[in-house]
Amino acid sequence: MIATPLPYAELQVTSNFSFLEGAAHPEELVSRAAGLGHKAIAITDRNTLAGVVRAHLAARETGIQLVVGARLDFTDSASLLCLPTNRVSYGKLSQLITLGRRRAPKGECHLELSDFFAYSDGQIAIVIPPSKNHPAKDFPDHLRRIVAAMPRRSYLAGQNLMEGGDQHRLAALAALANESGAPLVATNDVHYHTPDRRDAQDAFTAIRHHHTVARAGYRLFPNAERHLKPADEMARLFQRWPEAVTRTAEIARHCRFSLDELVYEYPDDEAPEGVSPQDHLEHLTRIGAQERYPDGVPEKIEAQIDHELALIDEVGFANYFLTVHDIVRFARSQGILCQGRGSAANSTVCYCLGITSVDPTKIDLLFERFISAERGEPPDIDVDFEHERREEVIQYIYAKYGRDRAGLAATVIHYRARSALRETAKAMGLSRDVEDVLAATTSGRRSVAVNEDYIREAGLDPTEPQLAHALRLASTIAGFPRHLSQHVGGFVITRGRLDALVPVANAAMENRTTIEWDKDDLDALGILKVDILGLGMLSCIRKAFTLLEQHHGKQYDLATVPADDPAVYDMLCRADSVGVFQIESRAQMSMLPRLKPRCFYDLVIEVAIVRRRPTGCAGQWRLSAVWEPSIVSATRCSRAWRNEAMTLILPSAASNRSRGSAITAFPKATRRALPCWSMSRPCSSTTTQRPLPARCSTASRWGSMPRRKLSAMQASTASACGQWMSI
Amino acid sequence: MSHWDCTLEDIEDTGPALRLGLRQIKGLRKQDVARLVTVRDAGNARPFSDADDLWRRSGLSPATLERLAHADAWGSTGLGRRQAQWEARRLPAAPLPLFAETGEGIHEPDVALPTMVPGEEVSHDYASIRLSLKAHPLALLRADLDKEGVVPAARLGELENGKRVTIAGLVITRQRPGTASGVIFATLEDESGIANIIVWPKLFERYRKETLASKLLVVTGELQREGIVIHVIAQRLQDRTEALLELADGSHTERTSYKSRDFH
Repeated sequence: MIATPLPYAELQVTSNFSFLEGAAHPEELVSRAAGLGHKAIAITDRNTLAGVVRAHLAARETGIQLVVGARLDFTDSASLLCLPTNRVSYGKLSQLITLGRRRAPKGECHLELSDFFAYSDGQIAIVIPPSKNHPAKDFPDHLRRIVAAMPRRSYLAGQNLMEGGDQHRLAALAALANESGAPLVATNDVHYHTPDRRDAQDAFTAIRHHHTVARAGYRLFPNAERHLKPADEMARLFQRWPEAVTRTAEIARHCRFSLDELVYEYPDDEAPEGVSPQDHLEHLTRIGAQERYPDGVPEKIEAQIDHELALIDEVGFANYFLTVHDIVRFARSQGILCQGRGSAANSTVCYCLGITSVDPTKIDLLFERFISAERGEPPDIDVDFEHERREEVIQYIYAKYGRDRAGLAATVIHYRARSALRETAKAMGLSRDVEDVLAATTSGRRSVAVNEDYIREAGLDPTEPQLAHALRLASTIAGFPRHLSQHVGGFVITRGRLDALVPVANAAMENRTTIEWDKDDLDALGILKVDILGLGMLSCIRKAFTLLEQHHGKQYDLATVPADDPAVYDMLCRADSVGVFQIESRAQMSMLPRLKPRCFYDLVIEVAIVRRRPTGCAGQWRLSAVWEPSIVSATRCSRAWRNEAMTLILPSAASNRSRGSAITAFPKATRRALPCWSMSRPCSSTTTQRPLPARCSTASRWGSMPRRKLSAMQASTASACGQWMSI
Repeated sequence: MSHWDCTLEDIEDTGPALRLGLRQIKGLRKQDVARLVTVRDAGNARPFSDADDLWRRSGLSPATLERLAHADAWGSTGLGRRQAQWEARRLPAAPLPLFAETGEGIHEPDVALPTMVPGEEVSHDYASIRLSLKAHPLALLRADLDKEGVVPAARLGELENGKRVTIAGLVITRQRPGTASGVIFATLEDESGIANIIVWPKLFERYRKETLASKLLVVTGELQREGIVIHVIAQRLQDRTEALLELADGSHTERTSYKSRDFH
């Protein structure tokens, strides 16, 4: 047993979201701090909150308190650690970073001390003294200015990093702390969780300065001390100033803000004054239904609309549907083709609102699958737009909601094996041609592993020390975040201020602004994003429509284009589908002549059979709990494929609602991938007359099954046709 | 006449034909094309007579005009690719108004440039618009390939299942689906059609470089036919990219002219 741990919380922590500075993931730092028994740990990356959500999740898992914060650099003052104490001051910090980032080109942040003061309510400031190599004469003045503006909430950080002269330095800092009224706080300027990351940190420093490690000299930290240290070690280092150590825990106690407090609210701009969003949605849906069915809305559709609206009401998603509707309405008013897809998109409501163009009378909807009251998760509607005109839609959203309420999600670009090798080869001073050879040994954008055999194959000796070191470093930093980029089209739109939720920054592209969190971060916090995607095929269809009109005088749109032209299916049966969206892949092309689709729904089945993804083992385990034993026995394959999984759920679930919850057993990613519709009955005479060939791949994977069961499976595979039919 | 987008042109007897759009040309900007098309299609405009006329009326930079020339798009001036490129290079950066009537005052002797051989034309087409309407590169290599017993893709359908065949083609796609446990599917294209190649992981380990880096690939393997679906299961792969690059007959072709869609 360890003795009662001293109260210590590390408050100056640079993770690898301070790109090319920190050498550990936020998760690693948080878990390590929890392992050391620290009271809390702060994540204070340079002018950013990009890494805090990951840290938050790790903290939740390990039970340690996370202090959300940032290190702020100023053009006219010493840097400081800004730690918000509550939700309001967190919002201010986020807005402050937004201010600095919106002023600066991508990747930079321009702030002055006066900006900070404008947003300093409820913040704790820990001022960072100048480093040994870069003494600043006017530091005491900066400190006094900060203390004067924020009395009792300003502190002075001190480190004992064993760089020589530490005691003198600390004594001087303690004296300055006394004199200025900013109490001394012990920190360890942490850049990695364990000392063995020093090499990677050195490499980053060298890369940042465009030097090799060998030539970086004093730019490198002199030792490997900037790791998370146990509380008693910190106490030993600050023997003469024990209160500097205990003060860290006191500060952490004041910083009660947790990311769990962030509440996301849908924008409510659509409903007119005095009308509830639900009523407005109903109104729009009824009008839309009349337009879609000018000869009278079929009873079945009427009932489905009632059912869906009730469900939307129950889970409170009306504003979400209205928001998407407004975006689509704008696109249509500009003549931009668009098409909704995703879980909630294939609903009758979406068809009536014009978000999709697929007539729901032809299909049975499984609307609950994704919107289920128990789940309370955000619904998911992605909208594809003509890729050449998507920017117009994006700018419409910015203009409508303003940059402080709408922003694109970020995508964290990570080091892959290739980019990691290039960076470390440079840092280790390997020549350009060696770097090229190394980079050429890795293939594929996804791989992060560095393979020594390939390096030998390329004529290099992986045991040569310099090269070996570069390789070792590369495998450390592979998977590290490298920079933030913009998500392909995920928009976060908020009711209140977006920049009080997460910092907003300029993207590299003109007129684009992005937030600092990526889609996983948003998912973790339950923040809604609407995907505004660009689809080349829609541009292509738009041009085809124009040509048809010019040369043949025929007018079509997505809803009226004929779906069953035999000439088209003749081509498809010959696998003449190069360049045809969804069915141009090799697998699709080799399946087409075997399944011989003759109508649109044949094609749907064909696409669904080929397009499958593993659901992963976790999914399978949890699924088996809800499956009937007889069906589970059929899946004694190592992985459950989404179509099979879907097929199995359909017979196994008794009611619609429990179908919905059977699907909750999937991990979210899989659920998104699951097909959205089932067919009411075999869609056309063609399908009935000519059942799927027994040798289709689905059947062969169930090779061990009795024959009669197989045909049942096939039938329900047919009913598991999916969202891919949305054009 | 080409516009930015590809268009259809009605041709008597045969019906509409596809006219390539100028958007296909590498490095050409949309606004430049818009300018060119506006000038060209103006009510009383006459066709561009020569380089000078084209340059003055379109107001495009010599670099842009050279891109058009490189794509062999100067047809209406009666100039072939090489001659057009030569003319484009002679243009000064900005027109001088005083010389508008008389030309720039320098009289260069006319130069008889060597005509391009078909291989050159095709290579430059690929470099500029990534395809060629003049010939498929493989058609130009066919005589040599025939000697090696290489079968054109269109003939695969006539051969019997299980036969050992050699096939050659430009690699147009490589796919490695996550569900196929490391199998690589490559698609080869020759002048007669496309051939589907399957590279098993074991073979891939041996022919890694050939599989990943070839622009022109020669594959020997077993023919596998099921109805009209034909695959060649690769047993041996040869990288013949050099032969492709040498088509240009001494003038330099970039490897990057031949682009495949890989692992998308």
